[in-house]
Amino acid sequence: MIDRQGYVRAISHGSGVATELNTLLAEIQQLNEEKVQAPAPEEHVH
Amino acid sequence: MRVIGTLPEQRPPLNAGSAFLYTSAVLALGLAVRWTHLACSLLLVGATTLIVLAGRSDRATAIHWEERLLARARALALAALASGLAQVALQTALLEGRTAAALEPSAIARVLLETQAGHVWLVRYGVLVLLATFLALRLNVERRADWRAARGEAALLGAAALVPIAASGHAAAVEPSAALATAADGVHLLAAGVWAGGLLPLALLLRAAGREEGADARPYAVVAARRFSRCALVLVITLALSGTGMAVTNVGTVAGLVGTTYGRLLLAKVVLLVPILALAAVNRSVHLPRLSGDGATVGRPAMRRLARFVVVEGALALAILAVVGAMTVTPPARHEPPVWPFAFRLSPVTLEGAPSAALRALAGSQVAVLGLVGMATAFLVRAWRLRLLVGGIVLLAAGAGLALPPLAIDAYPTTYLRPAVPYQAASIATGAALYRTNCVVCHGTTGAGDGPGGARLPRRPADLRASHTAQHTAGDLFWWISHGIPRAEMPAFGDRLSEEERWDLVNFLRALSSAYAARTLGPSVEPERSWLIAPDFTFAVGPTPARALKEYRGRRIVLLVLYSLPGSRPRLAQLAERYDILVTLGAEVIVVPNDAAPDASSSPSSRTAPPRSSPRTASSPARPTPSS
Repeated sequence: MIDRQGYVRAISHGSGVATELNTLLAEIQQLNEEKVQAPAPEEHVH
Repeated sequence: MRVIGTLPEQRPPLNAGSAFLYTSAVLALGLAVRWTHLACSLLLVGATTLIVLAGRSDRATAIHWEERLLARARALALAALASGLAQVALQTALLEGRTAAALEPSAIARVLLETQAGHVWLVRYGVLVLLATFLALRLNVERRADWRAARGEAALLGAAALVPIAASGHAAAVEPSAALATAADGVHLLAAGVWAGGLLPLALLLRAAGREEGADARPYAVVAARRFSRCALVLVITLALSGTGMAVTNVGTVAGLVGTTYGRLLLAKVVLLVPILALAAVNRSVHLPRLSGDGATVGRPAMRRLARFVVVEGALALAILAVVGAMTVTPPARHEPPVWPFAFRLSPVTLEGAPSAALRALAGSQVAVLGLVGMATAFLVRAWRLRLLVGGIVLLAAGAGLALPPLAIDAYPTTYLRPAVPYQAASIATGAALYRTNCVVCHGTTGAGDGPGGARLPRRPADLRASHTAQHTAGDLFWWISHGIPRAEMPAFGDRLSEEERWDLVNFLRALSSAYAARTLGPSVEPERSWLIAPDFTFAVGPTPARALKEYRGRRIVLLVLYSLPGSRPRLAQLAERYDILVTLGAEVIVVPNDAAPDASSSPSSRTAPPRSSPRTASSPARPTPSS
């Protein structure tokens, strides 16, 4: 899951059916509600 | 598109004829012309505002000083007009890339009418012509109101000719807040004009009033010096604030300050400013209070000394203008690759996992803060001022000596270089291939430093997955790859790999280290902890044009799904079924086949996604990081 600033925020492994799709939706909602947002990373890594 | 006429990157390609324009003699001439124009413009503001500040006088010496100053202002206005013409001619030759263009009316017209610098020049030149004409008029200013109007108008015209320079310099090219940067630059110019430009005119008055025959104007000169001193304090604070703002905008980093031409010119400017401020402080605290003392023994000698000090201040200010002239034709540090001049840099990452060093740094920092408090107190209180100041400096030095050594880490000329190749999946993939060819033998297939070639080395090769890889800058890695590490017998690849390939390798190492650190990331979002950068990549959905992950920045949360068939089919079906809800919540789904085969990418979307709202199914390319 990559947030709006371009940072990877969560990684889920496994290829089967996600039994917790509601959890996934909750995680997205949590990102939506974040107030403090990191500055977008530059194209270049320093 | 905005065109700024002064930026060197707008130089046309050189040919045999235009190479002459970039000889040091012509560049020196250009700088001399800029300096003359800037100095004249500033002195005009300083002279005209000082007359207003000092006020009208009926004393013969004061009237004579005012007349002399106005005569010099006329000469300055003419010099500003002449140097302005020379400047635009030279600029035309540089922009056209032809020496002859400097005298071609059509070429000059193009520069004046088609560049922002040209528009600004036209406005300023118009105001300068008005000012020169106004100064040339013999006005009847016997009535106080007429005097105020005449002198005030001259000061306003001088300011109006000076301030717009900001709109043709680096500030006008600042993105995204060019207006704010231009305003700050304009304020800086105006403050410099009133303060630095007023120094030499003030010295003229002090010198005239300091003579025996100028005694009639001494009270007038004392009042003028006091008023100027009060204004100077406000102006210096304004200069410091606006200058700091512009430095942050144009330089941005310590590396930019010490590692670029622009940054070093700024440092030279500050170095020249220090003695000016020291002299100003002495003038304010020592000479100014003595001006009203007994004429023969205290007042007049103090006035002569003050005049000499102010002349030195004014001369240093003119030297600063030469540096400023050079800065205007130098690309801002923010846009230049910095060459780090020191063999070390200071970084808090050295304290991670080193509690004793952290404790030392903390203790040292507290001692230094105590020193700073002592120094600040010295400026606020009169009693014990010198002791507080000296004690504060000693504590500051001791604290720095204690705190800084643990923070020191090796650095190289390329340490703060911006990578020439962006952090993108394609570059990382190229870097991975280069790694397999050139590095695996010592660093091992996983980067753990366990390659067979490493066993023979005096020191085990670095574990490239370890967090310290992330703690070094991309420029550090680039230096090691280019020049090797002699003490570890790591060979240099500077002559084997191109610069782009070396940056690809750096990007791969960053991704390798990030992937290792990403092990701590789980399926749950940690609140407000953004640290793992997703490398950009492009992908195509069916026949539509390729898109980049970066396009979603600021717009959508992205669920990047790496799949393989048939195992991932149920998961993809589930995502397709809930796709509308995901989109409603602000998320986009991009599914990428693990093997990036075109046939693997087409089947899930056609089977699982609704016809008009489906996850973005990429057919190419593939993986964002080597380990994902």
